[in-house]
Amino acid sequence: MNRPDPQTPGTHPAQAPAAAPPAHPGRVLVAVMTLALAGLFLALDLLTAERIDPFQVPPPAAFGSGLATAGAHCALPAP
Amino acid sequence: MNSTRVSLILFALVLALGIAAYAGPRSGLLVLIGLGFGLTMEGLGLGFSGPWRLLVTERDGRGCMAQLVAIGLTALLAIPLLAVGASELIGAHAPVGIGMVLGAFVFGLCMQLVLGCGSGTLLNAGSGNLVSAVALVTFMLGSFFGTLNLGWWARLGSLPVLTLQGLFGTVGGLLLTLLLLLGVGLLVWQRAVPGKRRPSDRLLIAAGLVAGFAILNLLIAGQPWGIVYGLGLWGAKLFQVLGLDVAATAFWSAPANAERLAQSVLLDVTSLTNIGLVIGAFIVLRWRAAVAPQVAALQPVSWLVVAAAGLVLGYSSRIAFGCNVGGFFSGISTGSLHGWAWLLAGFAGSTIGIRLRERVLVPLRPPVAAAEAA
Repeated sequence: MNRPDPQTPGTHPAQAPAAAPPAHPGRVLVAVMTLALAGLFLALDLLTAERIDPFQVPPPAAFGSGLATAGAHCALPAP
Repeated sequence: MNSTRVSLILFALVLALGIAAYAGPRSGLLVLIGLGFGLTMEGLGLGFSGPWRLLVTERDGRGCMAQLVAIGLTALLAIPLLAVGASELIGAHAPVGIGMVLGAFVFGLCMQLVLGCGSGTLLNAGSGNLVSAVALVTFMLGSFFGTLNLGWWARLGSLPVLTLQGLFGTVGGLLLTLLLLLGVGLLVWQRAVPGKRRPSDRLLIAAGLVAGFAILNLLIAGQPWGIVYGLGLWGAKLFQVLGLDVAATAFWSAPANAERLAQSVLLDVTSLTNIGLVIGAFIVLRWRAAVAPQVAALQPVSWLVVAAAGLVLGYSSRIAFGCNVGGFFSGISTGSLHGWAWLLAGFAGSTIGIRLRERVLVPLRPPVAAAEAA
């Protein structure tokens, strides 16, 4: 959150020490590093995973496709 | 500022179009839906763990009310859609069990320590919150570790998968879901102090948008919005690259999971919306003129607590069949009984986490105070 965030220590006046120093690095750098890590992971995945066949990709929407969903969800039971 | 904003819009569009060109239109659409979740939740301030904490500590029920509105609106369409498209759509339906309830309890506790649930950790990391960035890495590892023991936890004992529509029919299940949400809303109303009961228009708009994106997610992905599966998959892929024979484990050798493990994450629906969430939060961060300060620097031991709590968050959400999103939000909005058990156990754990938080997240003393003490 960019506005003073009650979930974040140090940004909420009710719970943070008034002069607690902020952590380093700053928000923008941490966000950019997060995206860079995600990008690195995606690049690694593209190198190691099966290539995607453009003629075998799923239809735009599952609903109305006539196909059973091919995804996997958090609620998937144990095998 | 305007050029930054134009660049951000172009970045989002190029990303979605690029993914659509490489992995198909469904993948591109799901990244856009993830972006929508991220922009809405980060931009309009709708979350999960924060409102639960505010309800307990400040008797502020507005965020919780907005959550209930979002879940109710989603259920209004999701439960009938699941009935109409039973062959194409699946709900977030999982059994209530010992492992599931314990997992939700521990998740609720830990999410107050790392300042966010599953979606909150992604959003906060995307907006540069250092605590969440640290927790996200260990969350991913924990979610993978959870997959290695999921069978053991399931064997501790559980009910069969039960849904309200399965028990009472589509109309009966939907009405009961809405009535139960109304009942929880009344409890929140009673707990909150006057002036902190009705959500602001901003929160109501956010609730409506989140419900809209959740329905789009269901229609396009064929399954409800989730977070944890994608993070566990990323962890599994990392360990696979490091040489671990992940595909030989019970969870990852199951057909649906083995397919996900072999394919690119750009075909995994949960990964795609997760990516969108992080980028959506980043866009909000850069869109605003003023950047909020970084979180307070913590004592070294507190950083260890954050890392450990992230690990436990990932593990517990896996055995709980989802975090606030996959278990609570999507579970309830698609009629699953485990969503309600998740709410009860998660909220109980959250109240303990709120008390623990001030003890374990200790900021570094300010330099001046430290000098005076010396």
